[in-house]
Amino acid sequence: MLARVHTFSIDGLEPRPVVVEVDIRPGLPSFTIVGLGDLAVREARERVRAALGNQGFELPQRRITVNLAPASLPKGGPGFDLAIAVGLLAASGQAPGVDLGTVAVVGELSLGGSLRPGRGALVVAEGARAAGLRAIVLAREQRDEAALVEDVAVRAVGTLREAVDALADRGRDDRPPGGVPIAGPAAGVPDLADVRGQALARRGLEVAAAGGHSLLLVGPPGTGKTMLARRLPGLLPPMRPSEALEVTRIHSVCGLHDGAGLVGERPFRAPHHGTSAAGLVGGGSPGRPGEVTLAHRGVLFLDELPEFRRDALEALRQPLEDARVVLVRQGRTRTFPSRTMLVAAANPCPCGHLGTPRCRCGPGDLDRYRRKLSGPLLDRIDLHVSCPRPSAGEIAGGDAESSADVLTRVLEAREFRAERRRSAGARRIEADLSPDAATRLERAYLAGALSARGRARVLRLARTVADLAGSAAIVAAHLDEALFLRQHVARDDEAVAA
Amino acid sequence: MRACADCLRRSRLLGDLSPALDRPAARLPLFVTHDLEEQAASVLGPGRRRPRALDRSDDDLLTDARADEDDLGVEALCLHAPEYPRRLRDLGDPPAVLHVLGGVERLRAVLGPDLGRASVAIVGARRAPADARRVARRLGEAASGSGIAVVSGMAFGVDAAAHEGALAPGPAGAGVGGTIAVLAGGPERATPARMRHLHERIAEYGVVVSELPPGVAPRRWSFPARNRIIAALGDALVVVACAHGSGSLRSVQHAFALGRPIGAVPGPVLEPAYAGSNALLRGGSLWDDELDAVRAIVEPDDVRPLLRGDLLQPRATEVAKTGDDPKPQREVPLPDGPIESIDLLSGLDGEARALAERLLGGPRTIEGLIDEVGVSAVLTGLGALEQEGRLRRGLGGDLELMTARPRP
Repeated sequence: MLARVHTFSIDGLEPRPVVVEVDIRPGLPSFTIVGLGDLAVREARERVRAALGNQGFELPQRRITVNLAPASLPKGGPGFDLAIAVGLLAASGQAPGVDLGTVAVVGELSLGGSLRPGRGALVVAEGARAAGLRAIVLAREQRDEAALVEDVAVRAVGTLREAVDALADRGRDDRPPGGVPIAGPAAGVPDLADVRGQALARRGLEVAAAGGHSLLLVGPPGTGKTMLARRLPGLLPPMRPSEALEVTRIHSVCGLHDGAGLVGERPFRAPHHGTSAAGLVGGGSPGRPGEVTLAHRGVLFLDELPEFRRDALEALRQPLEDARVVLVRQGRTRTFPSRTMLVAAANPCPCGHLGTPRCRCGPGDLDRYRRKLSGPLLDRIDLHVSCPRPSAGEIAGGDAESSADVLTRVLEAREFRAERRRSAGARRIEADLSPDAATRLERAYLAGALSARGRARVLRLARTVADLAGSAAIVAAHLDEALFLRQHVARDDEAVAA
Repeated sequence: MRACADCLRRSRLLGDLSPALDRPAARLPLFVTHDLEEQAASVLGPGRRRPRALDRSDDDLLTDARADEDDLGVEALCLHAPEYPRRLRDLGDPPAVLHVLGGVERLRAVLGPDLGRASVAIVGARRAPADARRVARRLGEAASGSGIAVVSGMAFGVDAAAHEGALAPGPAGAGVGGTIAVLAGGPERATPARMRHLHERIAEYGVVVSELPPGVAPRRWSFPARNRIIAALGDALVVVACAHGSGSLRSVQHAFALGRPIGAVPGPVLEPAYAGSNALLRGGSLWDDELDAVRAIVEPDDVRPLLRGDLLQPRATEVAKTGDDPKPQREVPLPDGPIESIDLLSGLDGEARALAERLLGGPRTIEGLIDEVGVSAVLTGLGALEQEGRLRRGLGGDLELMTARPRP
């Protein structure tokens, strides 16, 4: 007898419909799974066999063939367990009255027959809706996440037996009454008030947050570069529901999300400097999202930037520019979003103590380091800000301005920008330049201090500075500040170090 | 080309022997012997291949020198040429040929038409503290701006800063002293290579010279050897920051043997980077009893009495020890007015000037300034200063005010 169960495989970030076909016919007892499954899929046999027994079902002593269709799509992971088990029960007549035609079934089984939450409940639910299915059966822990998708009934279950019952109960919908709770920023988000001194870097963070610019912090170890970077997500406006949904989707597929509703906090990712190019931008087989995608709508923090592998940094350039990663793997093209703010940190020299008697770096070391620092990626970082060692007075001093105060200004600036765009329509930033600001910009460009890209970035930066000041026109002072924040710290030091 | 075949041969031989001169045993007989065969044999030891320079015809040597001039712009200037800087003859072992990048015209631009313009050698440590580099730059700038040529070795640290400063007032010429870089290898190639931008600018606005012919790489021996040329080309020598046992002290010894007045910039007594130069000021570290033979250089104008030879003591005893005849001290043509520090605030007004005044006292951090005048005033003012080329930022976040550059 044949049974067909709908389920989904996750390919990159996309759901792919898969039908689990279970065929039971007379013959020597055997249990075979075909359809390009990976090792985890092949091991599903043992889990299903044990789970059936422990839930009081029977594994038919006949020739069992399971096919995961379409057979050409590679499939991986333990998420097919439940679908296989349900199919087996249906095909062997142990689950009378179940409706398999309009329900998707996902989940991993333990040997005892209880259901373990898998990855990507949100994506699966979206796939179910797209495929026109009416309900989805999945682990209880993932109920809220799946319930984010309207129009698909969620049946959250704890065991195989409950799943069978849920499949028979045609009208059932477990979605939480009153909608899915949207988690606000957790209480544990670090506050800018904890950072001592660093007035310049604070300003840098504020401008970066207001305009979505990338930022490089240069300073000796222990001056608070990492602390500052960690506080950036708290300076950004709360995510819109659509943004939160994107983040939830990505984090859920990558197993970073616990399935409880919507991700409320902007992500902060700080990959180690040993991370490979594939780890940063995504890759592997099949293509998995990298750190830059995990940081989508949030902050990607690269501490010790010069220690990162050259190829990894090079690979980051395109994703940061285009806000998406395009991967081609096994003849398939996958596109991952990567709209993230880059914050990088670097020591001023290999030992980190440049300018103090402790520094033991020779001119050769400094030169090599500076070359690493001034690669093409650096040209794409908008703000370069130094973080000196705070003075004793600054450390002893009271709390500094809190994140909430800065966030208020950031929100005002963003609101001002939105208002300006509404009233003035789309226009080139150049049009906002006051005459003397325009001369200054041209002079900096002609003097060779700016590349063409640098010029465009300074313009955007000056626009943000003006927005923070609530000014429709970009005056010379805004441009001066932008030029100062943009100026490459690394390059300017060269002559002094000579 | 203004060189005779004999001198060219001597110079080429030096180039040929250069690798061998690095062997510890081969140090001494370098400039002493006048018989070239003997010199080569004593450097190389028995059984080594004979240097090519010994067997080349006079014509070949002259043709090569001319080719160097045409292809590389390096003019050979030998001991017997009237354009050979007279000060070098004060040396017991003057270079046989001075190789001048850009030719005698460049040398005349820096040292004046009669090659007699006053000059000061500024030397110091490579790994010099930022303060020392700053002093060297200001000293170089003030001297060059008053028409005194600045001589140094284009090494990292103090040397480079002195050159940089000397280039700031513009190309060498009337009223501007400019700068002379004495290299330890052929003059056409920037060594160290990372100094190539500075090398280009010195070649254009000052002059680059070397004892070694084009194509010869610098060697260990050639650095102390060129120090004697730096000491001789300067009418006085100023040490800016050197540690105990620093190579700059070798230059001081050369200057001392030449009877050149010596100055030193005092530094913090607890800072090892200044220990050598401070010890010079205390006296007794290099020679026994001449306590005030080294003059403290506190501001640029202190170089003037140094050049005038006011404080110069008869060093007959020392000279007797080195075995050289005392050289008659030449009359140094001094600039008319005082050597003034360059006004760092000139051409600035408004907020930029107010901010610049706060930077006058030395390097400041941005944080400190923000505390005083607020973040937006600081960023705006510093941005404006930086656009004017009047501000430099270190990776450590320190700020330094620069003087106005002449607009090209």
